[in-house]
Amino acid sequence: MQRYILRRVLQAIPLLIGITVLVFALVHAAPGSPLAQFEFNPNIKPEDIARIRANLGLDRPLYEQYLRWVGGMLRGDFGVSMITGRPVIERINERLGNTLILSVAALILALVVSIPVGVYSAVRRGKAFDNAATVLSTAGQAIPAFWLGLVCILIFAVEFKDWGLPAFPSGGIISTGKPFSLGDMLWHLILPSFVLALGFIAQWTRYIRSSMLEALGQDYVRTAQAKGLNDHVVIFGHALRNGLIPFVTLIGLALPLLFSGALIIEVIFSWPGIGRLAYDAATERDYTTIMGLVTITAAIVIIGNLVADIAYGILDPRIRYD
Amino acid sequence: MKRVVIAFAALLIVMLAVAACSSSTSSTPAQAPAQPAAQVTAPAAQAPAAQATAPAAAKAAEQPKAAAKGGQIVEVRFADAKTLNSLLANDTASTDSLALLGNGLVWINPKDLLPTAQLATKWDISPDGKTYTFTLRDDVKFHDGVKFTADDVKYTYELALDEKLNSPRRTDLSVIDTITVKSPTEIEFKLKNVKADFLVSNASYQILPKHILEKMTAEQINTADFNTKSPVYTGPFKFKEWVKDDHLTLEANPDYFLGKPNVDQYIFKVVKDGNVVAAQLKTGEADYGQYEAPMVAEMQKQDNVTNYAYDTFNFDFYTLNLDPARTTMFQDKKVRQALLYGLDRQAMVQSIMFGQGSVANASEPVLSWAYNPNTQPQYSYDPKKAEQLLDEAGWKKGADGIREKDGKKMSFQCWTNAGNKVRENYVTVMQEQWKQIGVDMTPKLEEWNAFLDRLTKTHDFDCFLVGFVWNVDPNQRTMFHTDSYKGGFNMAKYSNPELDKILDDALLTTDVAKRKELYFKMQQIIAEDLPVTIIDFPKQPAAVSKKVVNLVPNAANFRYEAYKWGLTPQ
Repeated sequence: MQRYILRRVLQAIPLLIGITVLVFALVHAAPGSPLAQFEFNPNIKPEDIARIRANLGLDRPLYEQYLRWVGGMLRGDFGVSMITGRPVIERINERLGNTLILSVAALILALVVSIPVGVYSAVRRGKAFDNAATVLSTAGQAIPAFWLGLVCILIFAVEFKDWGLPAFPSGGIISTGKPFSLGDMLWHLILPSFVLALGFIAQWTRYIRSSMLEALGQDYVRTAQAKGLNDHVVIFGHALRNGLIPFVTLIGLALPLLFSGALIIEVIFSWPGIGRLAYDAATERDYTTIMGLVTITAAIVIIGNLVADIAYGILDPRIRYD
Repeated sequence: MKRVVIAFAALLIVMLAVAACSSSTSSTPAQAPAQPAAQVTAPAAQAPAAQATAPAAAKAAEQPKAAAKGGQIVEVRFADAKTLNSLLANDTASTDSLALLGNGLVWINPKDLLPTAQLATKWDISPDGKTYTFTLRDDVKFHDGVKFTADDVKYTYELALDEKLNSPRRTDLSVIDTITVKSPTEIEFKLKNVKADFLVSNASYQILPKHILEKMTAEQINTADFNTKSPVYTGPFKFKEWVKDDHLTLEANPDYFLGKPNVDQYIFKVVKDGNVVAAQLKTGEADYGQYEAPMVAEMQKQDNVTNYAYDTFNFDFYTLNLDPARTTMFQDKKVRQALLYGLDRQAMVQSIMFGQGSVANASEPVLSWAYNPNTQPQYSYDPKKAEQLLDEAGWKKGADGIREKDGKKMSFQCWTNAGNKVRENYVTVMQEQWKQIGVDMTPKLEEWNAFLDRLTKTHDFDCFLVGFVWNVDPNQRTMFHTDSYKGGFNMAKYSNPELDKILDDALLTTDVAKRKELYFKMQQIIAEDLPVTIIDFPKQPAAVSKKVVNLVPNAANFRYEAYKWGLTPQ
C-alpha cells in the first residue's frame, strides 16, 4: 500500500511538469496578453504598452519566462498577478475558502438526497416513485443552472420580498455592510448550494439507481435473499456497498469541482469563488494567476484521484494494490 | 492515471475556452476596455468664457437637498476594482473608487464640463501656454493625518514619469518638462509644448502621499500593499475594507476639507450578472447601480427607484478597409455613403438598444462641446438613394441580386467581438439591410483579443464593427490622422492631408472657440468622406434608490460632491 502511494506520488511529478508546460504554452499561444487591458484605448500610446511589457518581463524569450516561473514556484513563490500586482497565492487563498463552503455544502446536499432516492428507485423499480424520480432527474439534468439560479432569485428574493415573506438574499456571502455571522452566511448559502447541488443530484440519482439495479441482480444478493436475510440488510449491507463502487469514481471526478469552483453559480449568486477568479484570469490573460491556479488545482486533482483509488480498496476487498 | 489526464484535459479546455465564450455565463456586454471615467478631459481650462454645451449634465445643476447624517449607500457594479493606486488604475471600477478616495489638483464640474478647483484653489497659465502655476489648499490632510503639500504633488507626477512604474499614462505626461515647488502651497509645471487639454487630462490624477511611498522604488510600488490593502489619499472617503470581487467598503473622512460626508459608509458591491443587478436594485439590496438597456422597461415599473438614462462619451462605429492593398471595394466614397444610407439606424437603436441611445450625426461624442449635431449630410435611412449611389459608382446588380463591378461581386465579411449582444445584433441587421441594396455582407464574430489583433496588427479585415469610450477632450487625431495608421486607431488607413492639418492645428491652440471651429470642420469632412461610420451614441441606464438624495448619475464626473450624498431624512 505504501509503495503504491509512493509510486503514484512519484508518477505525479512528471505529470505536473507536463501540465505546467502545456498550460504555459497554451496561454501564451492564445491571442492577447495581460497588456490587452491597455489596448484599444485612445489615451494609451504603444510606447507605454511596450514599456510595461518589458517591466513585466513579457519581452523575454518564452523558455526564460517559464524557467523563471518554475524557479519561483519551487521556492513557493507563485509570483504576482500581471493585472493587479497582488501575490497570486494570496488571490487564490482568499477565494478557496468561499469556494469550499459552497461546494462542500452542495456536495453534502447532493449525497444526502441522491443516495436514498437512487437506492429507493432501484428497489421500487418501475413503480410510481421510480418513475417520478426518473422524470425529475432528467428534468434536473436538462435545466441550465444559470436559468434555475435566476428563477430562484426572482421568486425567493424579489417576489418573496414583494409578498412580504422572509426573502432570501439575491447574492453574496454575507449581508453587505454587516459584520460576519454564521446564521447570515448559512442564509446566503441556501439558494446557491441548492442550485449547484441539483445538477449533481439529478446525475447521481441515475447512476446510483442503475448500479444498484446491477448489484441487486448479482448472485451474492440472491444468495443473501435465499438465506432469508431481511430486505434491509440485503439492500444496505450487500447491494449498496457494492453498488457504490462505480459511484466513487464519479465523486472522484467531482472533486476538482470542489476546488475549481462553479463559475455559473458564482456569477449568478455573486459568490466570489475560484471559478470567477479563473474566469477573470483567463479573459484578462493574467498569465501568473492562470499558472498558479492550474498548478494548485492539478495537485489537488491528483491527490483527489489517489484518494478515490484508495477508497476502492476499502469498499471492494477484491481490489489489491501492488 | 488515464482519468487524471482526462480530468485535466477537461480542466484545461474549460480554463482556455472560457475566454472564447464569454457570452454564455453573463449577460454583461463585453465592451472595449473601459476608460477612466472619473479622470475626464474637458475643454481647455484657460478659456472659461467659452460656452461648454452640456445638455445631459444639466440635471446635475439641481440644488443639493437636505440629507440625514449617517447610514450607508450601496452601489452595485459589474466589475471589481483592480487597484487603488491612482497612477496604475486604468479600469472604470478602479477610477470610480479612486474618485471617492482621493483628489486631483482639479477635476470636472459636471454642470459645465469645465475644470474646477480641488486641491488647487486657483491656477495661472503663462501667455505662451506652457507654464502652469497652481496655488494649493492649505487645509488638506491625508487620511493618516499628515498634511498635504506641494511636495506630494511633485512626488506623484515624478513617480508617474518613472519608467519602471507600470503606469499607462507616462507618454501622455511626458509633455512635462520641469516641476518646481515654489512653496508648500505653490507648484509650477513647465511643459515642453502647448497641450490643449493638459489641465483636464493630466491635472486630475489623485495625489499620492509622498511620506508613505517615498521609501519604495517605482518597481516596488507596482506591487505594494498600498494599492490594495492600505491606500491613503485626501478624499471624502477613507479605505475601510476590501473583500476582493465581493465588496469594497469606504468610510466617511471626518476631516475632509469640504466637510464630513453625510453617509458613514459607501460600499461598492460586485454583481456580475445583469439580471441580478436589476434584482438587487429592486429589492433594495443595492441603492445605486448602472444596468443594461434590456432591463429598462422592467426597472421603470419599480417605484422604489429613480431611473436615469444619461448620455455618455461612447459611440459604436464600423470601418471599411480603405487600403488598396487589401481591397478596392470601398475606395469610392459613394459606396461608403450608399452603405450608410442603406441602414435604418433609428430602427436599430430602437430595437437593439431598446431606445437607449441616439443616431450619431457626427464623429464627436454627443456630450462633447465639439459635437456638431447639424453636420451634413445626416444620412437618414434612404435605400433608394443608396441604390442610386451604388449604380453611379458602377456597381450593377447581377443575376443573383448582388452588385458587381468589373466581374467582382460586392461581397465581404464584417467582424465584431463575440459576446457583445448589441454589436452582434447590429451586424446581423446590417447584413439584412445591405442585402436589400444588393450588398452581400457576412457577419463574423471573434473573441475580443483575436479581434483586436485583427484590427490593429494584422489589418486582416474588409469591415469591422466596434465601439470606443471617448474622452471629454475632442481630439480625434488617433482615429483619423494619416500618422495614426501605425500606433493609432486609423485602422481604415484613411489619409487626407487637409484633415491632417486640421487635426494638428486643433492641438496647437488652447482657444476653445478656435478648436471648436476646427473640430466642426473636421466633422464636416468626416461626414462627407466616411473614413469610419459612427452609428450611434449609447446612453447609460442607471437607477438610484429613492432613499438616496443628491446622487445624480452622469458620464462626466458623477462622484463630484460625493460628500453631499446622503439618505433622505426620516
